[in-house]
Amino acid sequence: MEGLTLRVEHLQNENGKLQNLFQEKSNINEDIRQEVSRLSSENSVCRCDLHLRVHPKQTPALPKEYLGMLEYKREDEARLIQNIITDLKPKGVAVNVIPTLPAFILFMCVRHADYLNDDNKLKSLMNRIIQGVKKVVLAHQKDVESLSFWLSNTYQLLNCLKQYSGEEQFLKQSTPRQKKNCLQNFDLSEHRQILSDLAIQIYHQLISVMQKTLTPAIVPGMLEHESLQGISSMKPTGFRKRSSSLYNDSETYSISSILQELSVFYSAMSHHGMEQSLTKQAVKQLFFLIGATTFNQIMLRKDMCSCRKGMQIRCNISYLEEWLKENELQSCGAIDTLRPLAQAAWLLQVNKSTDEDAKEIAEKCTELNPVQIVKILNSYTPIDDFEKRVTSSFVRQVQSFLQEYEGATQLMLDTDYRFQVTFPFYPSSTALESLQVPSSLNLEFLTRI
Amino acid sequence: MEFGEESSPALAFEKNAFELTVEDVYDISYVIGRDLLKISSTGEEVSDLQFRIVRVLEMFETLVNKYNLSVEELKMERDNLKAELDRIIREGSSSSGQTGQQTVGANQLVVDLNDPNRPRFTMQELKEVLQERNQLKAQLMVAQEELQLYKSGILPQSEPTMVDVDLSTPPATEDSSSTVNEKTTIGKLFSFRRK
Repeated sequence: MEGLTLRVEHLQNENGKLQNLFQEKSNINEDIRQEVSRLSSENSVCRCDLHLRVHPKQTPALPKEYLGMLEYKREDEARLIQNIITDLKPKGVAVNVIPTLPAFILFMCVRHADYLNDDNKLKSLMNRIIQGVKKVVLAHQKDVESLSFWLSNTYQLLNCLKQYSGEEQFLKQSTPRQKKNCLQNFDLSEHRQILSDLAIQIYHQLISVMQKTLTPAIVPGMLEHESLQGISSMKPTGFRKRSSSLYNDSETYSISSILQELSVFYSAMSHHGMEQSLTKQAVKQLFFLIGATTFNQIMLRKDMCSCRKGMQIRCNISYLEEWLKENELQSCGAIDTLRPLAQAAWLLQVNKSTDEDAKEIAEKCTELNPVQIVKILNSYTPIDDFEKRVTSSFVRQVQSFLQEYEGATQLMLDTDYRFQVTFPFYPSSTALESLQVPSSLNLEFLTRI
Repeated sequence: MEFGEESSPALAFEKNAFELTVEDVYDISYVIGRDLLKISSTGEEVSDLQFRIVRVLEMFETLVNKYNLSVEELKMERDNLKAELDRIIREGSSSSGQTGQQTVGANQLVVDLNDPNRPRFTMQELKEVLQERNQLKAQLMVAQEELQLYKSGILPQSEPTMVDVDLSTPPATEDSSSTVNEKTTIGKLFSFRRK
């Protein structure tokens, strides 16, 4: 046994030495790489700028002023797409520090092709990019991480194409340097349109995946789980507890599960640098799903139409609201999507006997149509013997107040409804000249111009 | 992502260096990235710093990966060697179980007592047997010569007693009194064998 320990120690020592050697080597590699890129950028600048011939021996000690472009050989195009799109993992050092770096790198390649006035190269590149992103999204169509990553980067690329298009409407917030960097020879607005459609596609795929994960938790969490024991209500067990169990006491979903899952989605989206406006739209869509699914259950199940359930629902809605506040998402319109549900819950709790009650109901339930109101009233189940059922005369009374209603008369809400997604223009303050290509992306064949 | 999985990226900063995983390095990268975003205003000044940090983190990722792999490999090797050692010890103890503890040293031989071809005789015994055989062979030659002479009538003596000495077959078949009385080494040895 001692022999073994000695051997292990010996191997560990060797290992340590190897690590040191390796580190030295990568340092040397990095230095060489920097030299190469510096020299090649010098070369390309020399080509363009005739004035430099006056100072042949002077190589500036400071880094060359870069133009913010990336050059690649035509035959490396496939490799470029492979390494920056197809094989790129959403989790890695470079993309964790700068999530939208791939988009910028791609744009800098586009800029160079435009700069060279090379029609074929540019077209080929744009098409390859679009195809590449389509493929990678298809390959990972169930993975929230990959989908958010590529949605974020596609959106960023779209923004870059707009910001540097040279079009007046997009130049308002650009710095003078950025204005100089605009595309000079080609108009890529058609490609922008294709890219925009692709982004919409990815967005909807992302929403579908998130909804699929969320759906099983909605009805149990919002309706069935009873966190209110009598009067005292238990605050759900927080959102980011380390030892949190997904299931509360009886191994079923609770409101905490829903909140937890929302947090997971939200953090995935923000980790990948998704623009806030897009994240907000996604959250709003998810909240709509929660509201509509829960509401439909109330329409269908008599056992859910009780005063206690009404209270439970309102409690859960307040937790959802709190979650929005904690994540600074109050302005996304998510809470509005819950209004039909909130009003239904209120209706369950409120007194339903006098004429004034009837009037109040008719006035307050703005988000509910008469069919839905009547259904709730008729399904209302008293929790004990003291409570009376809702009388049919009361129902008729309410209906009389709603005679002038002219709107949809569907009982159920459409849970598949999707709000239209928009991609507002967001200029970035990033200076393209200052961007470098980290070595872990395996793009050594790109030359920084 | 599984339902309800959470991660607190900042936790990675509190871990022991030797317990870091590559995932932790990614979490660290993310947190640092966010912090950098907070301080960057024009996008130029922070950029160099940003990419240097990326470079360092890349090296860090490589080292953490290598380290964890090496640890795994060393562990596996250690386990293999341990298993082999156990096996050898077990085998060693099972085969020497009949004669008790027997450590085989250098220049020693372990003999299976049930092997019919096992070595049984000492050098001395072998020497004596061979000497006797040579002697008897010589005597046989002389006796045969004598016989020839008698047969051809040269030596007119009465017939000598025939002595069958067949050294190739065991003396168990012989009933001549001469060999029974002879206490030769051969007889002794071979009489043991009959038992």
